[in-house]
Amino acid sequence: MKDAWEYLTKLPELLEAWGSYSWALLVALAVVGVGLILIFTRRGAKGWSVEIVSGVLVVLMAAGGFVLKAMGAASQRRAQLQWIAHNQAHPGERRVIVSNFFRLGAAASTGEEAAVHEFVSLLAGIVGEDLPASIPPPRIVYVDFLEGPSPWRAGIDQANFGDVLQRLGVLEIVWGDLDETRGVARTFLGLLPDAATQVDPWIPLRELPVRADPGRPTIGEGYYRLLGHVALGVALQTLRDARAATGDERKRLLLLASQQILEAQRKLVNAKDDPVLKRNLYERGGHLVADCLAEAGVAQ
Amino acid sequence: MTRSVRILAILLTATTPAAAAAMQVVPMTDLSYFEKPHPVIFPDADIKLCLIEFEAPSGNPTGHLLTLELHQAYGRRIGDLPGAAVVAWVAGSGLSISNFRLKADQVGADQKAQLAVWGRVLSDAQQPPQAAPRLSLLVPPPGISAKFVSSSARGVLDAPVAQGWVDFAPSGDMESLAAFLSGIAHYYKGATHSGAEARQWLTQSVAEFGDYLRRVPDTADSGAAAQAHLFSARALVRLGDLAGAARHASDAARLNPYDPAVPQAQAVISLLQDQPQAEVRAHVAEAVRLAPADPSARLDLALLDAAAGKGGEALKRINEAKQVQQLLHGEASPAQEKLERDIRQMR
Repeated sequence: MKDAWEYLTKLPELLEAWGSYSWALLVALAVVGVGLILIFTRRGAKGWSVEIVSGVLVVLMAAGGFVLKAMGAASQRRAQLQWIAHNQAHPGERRVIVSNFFRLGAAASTGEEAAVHEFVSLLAGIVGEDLPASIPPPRIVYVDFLEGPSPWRAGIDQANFGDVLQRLGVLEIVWGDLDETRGVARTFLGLLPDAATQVDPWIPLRELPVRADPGRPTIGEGYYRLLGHVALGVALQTLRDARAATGDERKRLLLLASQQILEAQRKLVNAKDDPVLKRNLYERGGHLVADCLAEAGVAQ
Repeated sequence: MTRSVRILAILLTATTPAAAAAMQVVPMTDLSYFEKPHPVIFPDADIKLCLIEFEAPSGNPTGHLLTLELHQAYGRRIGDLPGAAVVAWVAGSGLSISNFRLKADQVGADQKAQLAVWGRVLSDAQQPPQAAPRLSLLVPPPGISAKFVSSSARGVLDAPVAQGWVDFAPSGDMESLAAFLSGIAHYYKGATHSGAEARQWLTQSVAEFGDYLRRVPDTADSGAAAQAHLFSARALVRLGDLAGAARHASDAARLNPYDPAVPQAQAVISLLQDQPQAEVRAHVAEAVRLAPADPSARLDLALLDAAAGKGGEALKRINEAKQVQQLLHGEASPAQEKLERDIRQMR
């Protein structure tokens, strides 16, 4: 009796443990429980023999595990939806997300974290202040993707950044990873795939040493790439807005998009031979301008 | 030289009354400095430059040092320019410029300045400390223009200084930047005055821009180099050296083929040189291609077409200019309406 009571007091703990099992394991355990009941019933076991009770307990635990797991999944989905809603761009807002730097190797030291934070702050400053006049600076928002309910706790990369932008309704995202083996932090900028049908959807910005002096954040040629691709992103968003508009508003937005691209080309002329900017801002940007002006009816 | 000795040396030279130019360094010790009204420093100056300490990460003195270096270098170059002044605002001891809520353009406007320079330190691990400065032309100086007369139309072709800013590539060389700024200051003075003194200032402007272009290779900062050539071209037009102006304008076009101000200036120069109308028109058409949202360039094209007797083409350009103006600004300008009336009467 004493043993049975002890077992019962451990039931919640056991159920919680079973709730953490995979769906496949729970199905397998349920099958085992049913199997035990069937086998010992056929062998002539009568009443509540130890074997039958064991089988029933395994089935009940598996069922409990199913219920708990389903409840946990629903609760996690709710938390994720709340997290996404919290980090979504407001209607009409142009937002650029700067994400955590995800580690590819061992944990980084505090000094390295400080260097990364300085870098993020530098990016925010550049985007906020150095874009051409016709381009309203997008809002820079830091998002901690390592937070519990985040659906992307494993990290942001080239494979999933489009999903992030789509679900958060955001224009662009800067992400990075810390490659401890090479001693560098690599940074990337990704554009909303829907908008970036005619340009590279993501570009590398800059590799910076992870052990850099936190007082000296480095960006080098990444400065021009960052400004160029953010400008292009805003212009492409303007173009998307134009496609959704009609009449004079459509023409106005087409003209504005072409103006934004041309001003960015003029401003970033020092980097016109950078392969990434040459391909996207200058060559494909040039085609976009021609298309916009032709559609607006003001091409020469 | 160690960092502290360097700081001391710069501070000593900054406070030495050796420079003849009107110079002042304002160390700010109160974080709410820009939230209070302040008297205009050097109120009689007519070419005043406001320098704001280059922003750097906290604890990094590079921005402070480069600002003081620029202040000194610029002060040495404007010693001969009457009415020129420079004031630098730097964070006081233990403070960071990023803690001050300020907008350089607003500081410049409050101080009734013509120029403002600020920027950000953008270090690269492999290179010495650098700043990416930005020059704001708070009151744009006059550009250049040319009158034209034909049997069918007459008018003025304008090439104003429409771009209110110049961005510089990251650099630690403040002497070169001072040469550029001095070139701008001398151009301001020369373009807003007349007579022998004005010619002297314009000549000095070309010399200062020449010094900048010798110090900074084209490949290092083609955007700023293009602006140096363009201002040299404007100064030379005012001095009557049209061949020299055309050479500088051509260099500006090579260095920044995306700046509509360059073909506008080339059109004016071609007109002054009595070049064929087709060449002038080609420059204006290029300006329209680079700035399709600028109705004034389309209007210039209409004027040229009208002057060439192509009334139909001219009306088409005016309609485009009106469309652009209405789409972006809401209504047609009186100049467009007048030109349209003139051309219709002409036909």
